[in-house]
Amino acid sequence: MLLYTSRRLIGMIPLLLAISMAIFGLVQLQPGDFIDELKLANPKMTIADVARLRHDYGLDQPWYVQYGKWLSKAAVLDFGVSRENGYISATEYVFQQRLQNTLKLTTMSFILSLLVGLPIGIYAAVKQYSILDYVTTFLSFVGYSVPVFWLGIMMLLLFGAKLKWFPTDGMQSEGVSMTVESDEKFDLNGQVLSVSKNNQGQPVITVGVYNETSKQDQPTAVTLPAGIENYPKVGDYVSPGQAMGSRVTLQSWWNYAKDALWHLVLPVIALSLIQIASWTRFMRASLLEVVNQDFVRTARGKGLTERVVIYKHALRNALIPIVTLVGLSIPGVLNGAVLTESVFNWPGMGTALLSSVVQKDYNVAMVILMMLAIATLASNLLADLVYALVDPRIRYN
Amino acid sequence: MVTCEGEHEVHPYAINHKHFESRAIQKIKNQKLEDNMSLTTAATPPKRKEENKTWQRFKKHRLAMFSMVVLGLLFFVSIFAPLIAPFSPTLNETSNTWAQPGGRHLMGTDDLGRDVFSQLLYAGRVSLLIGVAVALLSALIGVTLGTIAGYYSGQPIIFSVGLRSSLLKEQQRLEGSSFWLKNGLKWLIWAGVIAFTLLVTSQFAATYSGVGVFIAWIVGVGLSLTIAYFAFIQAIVVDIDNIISRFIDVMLSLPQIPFLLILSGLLANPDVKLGGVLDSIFGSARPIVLIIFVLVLFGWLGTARVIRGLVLSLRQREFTDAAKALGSSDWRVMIRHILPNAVAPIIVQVTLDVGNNIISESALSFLGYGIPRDIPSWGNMLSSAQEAIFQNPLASFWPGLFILLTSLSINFLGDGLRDALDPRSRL
Repeated sequence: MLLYTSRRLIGMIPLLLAISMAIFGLVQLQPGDFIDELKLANPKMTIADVARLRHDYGLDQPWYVQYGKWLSKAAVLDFGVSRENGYISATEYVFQQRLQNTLKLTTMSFILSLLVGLPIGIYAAVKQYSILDYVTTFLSFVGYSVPVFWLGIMMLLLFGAKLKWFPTDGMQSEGVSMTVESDEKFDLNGQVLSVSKNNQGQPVITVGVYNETSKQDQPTAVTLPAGIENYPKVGDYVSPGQAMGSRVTLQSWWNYAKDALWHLVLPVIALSLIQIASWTRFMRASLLEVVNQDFVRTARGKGLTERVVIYKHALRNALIPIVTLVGLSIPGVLNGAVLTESVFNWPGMGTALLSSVVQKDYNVAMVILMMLAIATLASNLLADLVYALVDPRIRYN
Repeated sequence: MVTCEGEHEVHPYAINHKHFESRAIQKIKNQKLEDNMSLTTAATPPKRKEENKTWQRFKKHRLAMFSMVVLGLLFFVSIFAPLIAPFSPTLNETSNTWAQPGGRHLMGTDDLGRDVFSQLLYAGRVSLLIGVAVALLSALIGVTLGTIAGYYSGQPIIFSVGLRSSLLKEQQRLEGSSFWLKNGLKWLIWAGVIAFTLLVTSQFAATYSGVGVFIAWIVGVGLSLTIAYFAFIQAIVVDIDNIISRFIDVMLSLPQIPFLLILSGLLANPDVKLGGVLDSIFGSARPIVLIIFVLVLFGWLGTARVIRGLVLSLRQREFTDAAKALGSSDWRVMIRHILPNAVAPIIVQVTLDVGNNIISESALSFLGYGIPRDIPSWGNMLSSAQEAIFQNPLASFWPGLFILLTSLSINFLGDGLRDALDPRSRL
């Protein structure tokens, strides 16, 4: 097993190289680069300037030379900067600002679709040819055929615009934050001279209070209570009655979480409805396949109750192919996420990819595409390994 | 590597119904085999009867029958759109944008004052054309590559035989006088590959200085020497099935929408050289040809995989052995003996693909990387309607409904066809 895993991992290296080369070629062959954008923004740039900049950045070389340079930097995990996002590193932009939003959306919808889809599939298989079976089969066909972006728009119109139950875009309302102003107030007036921590780890702010008699600023230390964030920095002025900072209270946290959840509802449901349809179909078919096998008949013949037969004997075996499908369905979920994000204006990776291509901010596009490729390859490997774990008949050698 | 192969090669999104087809196919294959056996002894009449039975079974699937009617209607109104549509789809009434439904404009007008109803009908032409064309082209590529992969699985194909190779004598004996001509040609191609490698690495070395030059030089010369060693001295022998299957695996494991998006963005740009060439060939139909090309790129994978599995087992049947023993060439065995036995799953596959392609096309157009707005398609109508979603909600309702209707009826039709062609695979 270990040998198999390591061999697969080593096999991934040439694969990733090939994929990265293909992606890089595709991205680099896109007409125009960021120099064009610079030229548009700055009419004083001459053609000679443009040519010189292109040469300096190596953009006048063939794509495979540029690929070699990109690769030699990528090998040490340097993927360049994002020009459209304040020149922070592209990896930082994707991983710290965008990835978590997409993960929030996809994991929630993934879990929801499994929680809803699998039980319905089991029920439909157990009660085969019942009315409910026909209804779920029909609905799963509908779910399978509906375009995810249209479903999103329709839900937005109905629940967002018409009924006003849910917000229509973004992932947070304006002005809602996790923290509120603290109740503790300053009672002195002056400039912050230094901020330090005492031995309990609590911040101590030294404020220079103007002393009438000595005509000088007299340093006065104020120890802040625990849990205060965003307290004044060196050079800020504090005045009596000003809040010492902000802190997370149960109320503020709950408001924040409620608002975030509120924004999640529509995108998650839109994304999961389609997955629910396929999980229902897969689960139903898988269980029906098992139910007709000999060992299930034997279990029934022994006089076991139907409940034990289904849940203890049949279902366990029917879940084996489902486990692999969970791993293999990840690329599909990511596809759906790109579309859903663009409908709901969700600041995730899908929208980041779209805007980076439009803005010719290719470093970001490369990071996102490479990450998607690595994620799918890894999930394929994981699916195979988990398959071997749950099914003793599978052996890798 | 994996002992339980059939289960292992399952991919839920790219190949929708195929997981269950693989079992269905087993059954189809068995049944068709019996048919094949009987066909060799009996003449045409039994086949007619079989066709009738298929039709009978299909008629019983009421949803599929109903879907066929709906699909027929959709095709009818799309094909005869110029006769039915009250307005030209490109007629702008700039003073009458976002008109409400009713009155002169049955479903209102869009951002440029074009009649939504007329556009829907014309868009149907584009979307259905793309769906069908992509499905047929993917089937062509998928069936060809799948058959080759399945048929030659485990039989390596020789790309070059070197002078010191152990294969040399045997190949000379097998191919006779044409051996040196053929192999010389292969050597020429490999010499070209080596020249290209050297060219690339030398260009690469030219952009570096110091150690970089040295490394690029070593890599280039090393690569060239390796290729030369295997091409001219040893032999380059490749299992074609391995290559095709691995390639399919890789392609299937990529998230398609981002890739299609980048690719079609690249090709649709007028500044790209290839785009200019395409422009001169296809003229105004270029975006449609492009999107077909882009979708086929990922579309053939599923079909190829299904057909490969099918051919793998069909090639071990007695009738294949019999055909080979009678002296049929590989091509004849594939085309005349193996493929006719794989027709049923291919038909089902093509049908289901049409629906998926229509959805993919509309997704790309929706994101703005598909068909441009001057040619109406259901996807780009939806995309422009989304911009005024709150002023005119119904404008974004209709295109999506048409997409849903089409793909739903195609899925039901495919389901009915599967049941009819293979009654034993009822799921």
